[in-house]
Amino acid sequence: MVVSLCTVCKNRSAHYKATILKNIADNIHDPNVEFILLDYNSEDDLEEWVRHNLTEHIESGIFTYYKTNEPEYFHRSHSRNMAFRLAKGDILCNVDADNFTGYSFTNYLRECFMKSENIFVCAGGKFDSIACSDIGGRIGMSQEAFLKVGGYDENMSNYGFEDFDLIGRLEMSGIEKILIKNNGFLEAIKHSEKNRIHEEFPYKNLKNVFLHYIDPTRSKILYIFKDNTFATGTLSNGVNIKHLEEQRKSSFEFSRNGIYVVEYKWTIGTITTEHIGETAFLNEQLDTIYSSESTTDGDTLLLKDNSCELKFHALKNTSLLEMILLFYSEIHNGAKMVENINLKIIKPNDVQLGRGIVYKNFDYHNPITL
Amino acid sequence: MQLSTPTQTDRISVFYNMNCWQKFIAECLKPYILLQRQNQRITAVFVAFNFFQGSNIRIAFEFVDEVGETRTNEIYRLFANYLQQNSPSVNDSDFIGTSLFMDFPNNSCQQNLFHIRFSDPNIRLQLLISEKIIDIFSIDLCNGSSLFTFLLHVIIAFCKEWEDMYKIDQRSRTTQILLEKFSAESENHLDAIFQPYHELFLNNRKMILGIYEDVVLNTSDSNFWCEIRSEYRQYLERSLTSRRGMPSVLLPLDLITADQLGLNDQSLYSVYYLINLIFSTL
Repeated sequence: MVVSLCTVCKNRSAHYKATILKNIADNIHDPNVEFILLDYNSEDDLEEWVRHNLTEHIESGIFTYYKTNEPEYFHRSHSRNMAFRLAKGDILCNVDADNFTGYSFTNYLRECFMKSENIFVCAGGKFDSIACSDIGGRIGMSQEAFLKVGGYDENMSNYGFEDFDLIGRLEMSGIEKILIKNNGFLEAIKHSEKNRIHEEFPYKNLKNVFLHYIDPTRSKILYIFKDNTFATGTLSNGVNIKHLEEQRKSSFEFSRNGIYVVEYKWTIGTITTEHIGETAFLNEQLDTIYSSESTTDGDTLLLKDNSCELKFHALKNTSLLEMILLFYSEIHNGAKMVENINLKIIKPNDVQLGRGIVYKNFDYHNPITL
Repeated sequence: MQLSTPTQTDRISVFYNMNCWQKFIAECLKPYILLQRQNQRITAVFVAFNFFQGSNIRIAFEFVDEVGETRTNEIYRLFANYLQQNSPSVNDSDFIGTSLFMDFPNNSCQQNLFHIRFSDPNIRLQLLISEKIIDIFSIDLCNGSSLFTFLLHVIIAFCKEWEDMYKIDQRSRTTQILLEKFSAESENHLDAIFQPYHELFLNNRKMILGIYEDVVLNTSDSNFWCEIRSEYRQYLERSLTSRRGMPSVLLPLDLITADQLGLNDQSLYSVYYLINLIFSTL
């Protein structure tokens, strides 16, 4: 039973350098293990470092380096699906670049699967107590289970909940969840929140965040991106809002640092300028939800909705901006996870998962099409 | 005979300019507490300073008997009337573009903005600190400096208790906390990071070492620092039991205490830096 430990990496070479040699050393005694690295178009020194430090393991066949040059942004679900498709093992396990597997983790995985085939192994789901969020991505499953649920949901393009969603769908499909109890298998490098999202579309493309203060408990937030798209919703600090009480009783709580989003998901759309000096914010149904005579570049923005004019202020606090971008990502993905749960969607990817072109072990003459 | 169970009132946040907190505590809060104590109506009072969505004092009472709407209204009216009659201040913070939510109106009382559980095993320490807050800040003006100095007193007491209990040198422990937090390579780097506090220590060495003596020798009139250390010891023992080993270097209660004084993590680490210098000097 071959175990594939799969890692995806985009511009996080510092973390990978700190973990991979230790992870190989901790599992190299296992003759049936392979380490897969998918370099998701990194611009840092990852490739060079692998060339200089892992050649011996590439030659021995224990380690395989794949690179795709296509993605401009990090897509967590797509990249992991790619890596899993490239793996040859009977058991596939995601190991984030900042994770330490611990000694003999692959043997532990194999033992679990020898007891029962109809299982998957993970650090914990949404409702489990997890030692730290950095090891939440550790999920091991059989090739068969991976194909049965159609991998990670590629509709979740941002940070957050893609692993909880996968765990939820594996359970829905009748596969038993086994929690990794040994903390020795669940160690990770501590890092900033910014690290989680700095290679993703929202972070790289954010133009501005505006706030309209409704009252001390609620604010409307408006994210504007460089490609003239936007997202908006109502934030609440959770004080005296009865419907939030109801929401909290439901299976999923939209909150981070005591901040809640009132609506089920963000309203998203595009910004158009049909007439000079007039900007319209169109939702997905192409209805105008706001119009404005001011640009989105300044510190304030006056937006008209059906009934009144709302004054928005640019958010200037850098740490709040990072937190609120993380929140944006999580709400986006969280809403999709809830949809998958509520509609009992086990296989959410419409198209073939993990598509793209990759190159194996620096051989750039022979592309592999997935 | 049926014993009555203590319950808590609605929690009240008094949004008021920090310059006026001393006056509010001396003229409104403290007399009310004294009266309730004389009448044996309250068993505990929690007080904390807070700056989220405007400067405010957080107050919660645990009453001997059941809390009714009348009593809640009585407290609310008392505080609101005081603010109405003594509202010289304008809002002292500018939230626009720096906060996700607008401030609550200054000179106003708000209910249920925070959580406090009088049944929490660590509440005794927070209640002791509340008593001291009322004592000190009904006399002294409340400002960043006085709050920081008070936190320094409390954390010295914590560190000293830790030292006595585990026989761990507090200079090493605080160095470890700071090096880890700031990813600093050496103590020299820490001196650079905390340069203003380094100068503060050098310029006020005698006074700062005097604070250490006050706390450790409990030279003040009351038994306050002994009680604080005793509560902290119990907390450490509870941590030891629940974790089956020595607690991690930085404990949640230290952060909770800084938070009770309205001070952020950065202030707490600055206090640790000063304590590091104190223990290096001793």
